[in-house]
Amino acid sequence: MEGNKDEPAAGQHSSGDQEELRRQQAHLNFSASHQARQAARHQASNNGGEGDVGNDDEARHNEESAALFNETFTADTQDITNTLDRLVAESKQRPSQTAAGTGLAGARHAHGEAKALPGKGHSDTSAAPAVDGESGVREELDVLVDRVKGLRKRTAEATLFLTVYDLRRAQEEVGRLWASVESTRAELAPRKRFAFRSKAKAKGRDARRGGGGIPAREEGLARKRVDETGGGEKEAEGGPGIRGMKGREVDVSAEDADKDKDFNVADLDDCKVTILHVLGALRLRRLTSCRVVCGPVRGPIYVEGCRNCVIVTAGRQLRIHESRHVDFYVLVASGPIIEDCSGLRFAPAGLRYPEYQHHLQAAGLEEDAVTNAWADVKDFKWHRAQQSPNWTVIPDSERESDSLAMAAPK
Amino acid sequence: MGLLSILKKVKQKEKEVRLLILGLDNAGKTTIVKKFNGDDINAIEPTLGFNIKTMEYKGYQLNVWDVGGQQTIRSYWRNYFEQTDGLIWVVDSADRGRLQDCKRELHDLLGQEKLAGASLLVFANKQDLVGALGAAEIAQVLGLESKQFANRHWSIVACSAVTGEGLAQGVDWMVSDIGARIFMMS
Repeated sequence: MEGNKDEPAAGQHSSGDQEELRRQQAHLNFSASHQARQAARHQASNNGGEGDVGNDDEARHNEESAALFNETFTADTQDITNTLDRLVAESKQRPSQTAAGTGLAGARHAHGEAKALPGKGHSDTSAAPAVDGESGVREELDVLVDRVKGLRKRTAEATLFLTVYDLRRAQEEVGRLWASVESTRAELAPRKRFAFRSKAKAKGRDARRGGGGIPAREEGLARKRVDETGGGEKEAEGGPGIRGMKGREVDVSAEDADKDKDFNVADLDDCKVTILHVLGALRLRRLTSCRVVCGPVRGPIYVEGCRNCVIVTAGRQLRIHESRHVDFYVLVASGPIIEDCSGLRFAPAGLRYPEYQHHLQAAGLEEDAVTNAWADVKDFKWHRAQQSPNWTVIPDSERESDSLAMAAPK
Repeated sequence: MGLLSILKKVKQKEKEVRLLILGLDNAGKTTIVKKFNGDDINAIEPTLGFNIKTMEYKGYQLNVWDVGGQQTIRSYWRNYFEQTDGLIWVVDSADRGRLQDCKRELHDLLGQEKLAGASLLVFANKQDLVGALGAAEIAQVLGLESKQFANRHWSIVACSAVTGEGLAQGVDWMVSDIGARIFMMS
């Protein structure tokens, strides 16, 4: 109850003195009756036999207290809301000042004002409701914050006698008030975020100095270096592999493929790629309408940006990014990962060629060592229990049982 | 200074080091942790969330947080920044196509206030692959020499999680750097 000392001053901003007095009175009554009730309850519990009377009495007191609480609470919330509305309305009438307030000069000005105010006393501010400038708004908001805090405290104390419904309503109301006071404050008189000044400044300086200069140049250097090893942005990928072809059939020879080599297949259109060897890692990027048949991969298979393809392979991991309408016939040691994909279909590996078993062993993927997890697809863009819409199992009737044929050596 | 020295003492007692391992997906983060810890690396699945491993190394207790690098879950990385003593950034040195992505993500990370004091170890992983770039080239591409890193304790070590080569060298640097910084030894 003592927590509301500031309230009178705050109330005078918008409502008249009489209204405020009445409210204060009501609040005092409420406190007094609350205390009386507690005393009564205490007595009742001591007197044992008269417990029934005490309970009746208590119930009546509870109702009274609740009614009083509700009354003062509603009046208070209404008043705070009104004050907030007024502040917002006033700030709109003087847009230039608010705008200036966000600048450094405005902030300094506000600071000075705030320092000067305590000397003038609290009543001074309340006597002039339409305080000018940002400092006034800031002051008023501070007062409002205190009032909402007071309300919250009273609500907490009211748990003793309020009904569950009333209590919840009051708590929600306080929460709403708090949020609107905070948002108004953010809008009208934003607080400066705490920051280590010198560091922030240093960072800013670096950024400014580097704005078009150093970082850009560094990036240029970095890119140039990559370019030397590869070419443009796309060929920057470099490394062993085949790239940029259309309508071709490519059979990758044993010299190009090796279990310690990673292999890149990128930017192909309407091609057939056959790699009947063991690889260290396989990357497939931006393939359109292609068929890729690849022997066992000792490490991961990485697929990105493929469209309308058929991919037949085996590997330890399979990660698929941003691809559409691709059929996978795979043997994988762990469930495939898909991210930003749609229309993917999966079936167990249909790969078969003379050295296949031997190659599987070389890649550590032989049957005894690995269980094929081809159907354990994990979709990073689908977090529900139901089946992800982005992938399906290829129905038996549609499976290319002949994928072994296309893998067969010529 | 008072609080700082108390914190240092507490940490010194336990010699506990918190390491955060990050990098793009498919960089080999989990494989590095498992290989370093002497676990089997043949059954590693893509990390859906994160793994925590506690291990003893040269008198330190390493609490290693290995967080998945898939694009979708990168936004959750920041949940792991708190109290990180060392950041291990893992790069797939053979994946040239994503080095610019890799650079961007790393620079984003190092701009984070909560990681401001963390030592940075870059593992240029997958050196077992023929197409892998060397540590110097990776450092160049990631812009590690730039002014931005001038105040950062960083090192880059070429490694292969598959063969285990380079791992101990990297972690050695990490613990000695953190040790010198936090535990005021040497």
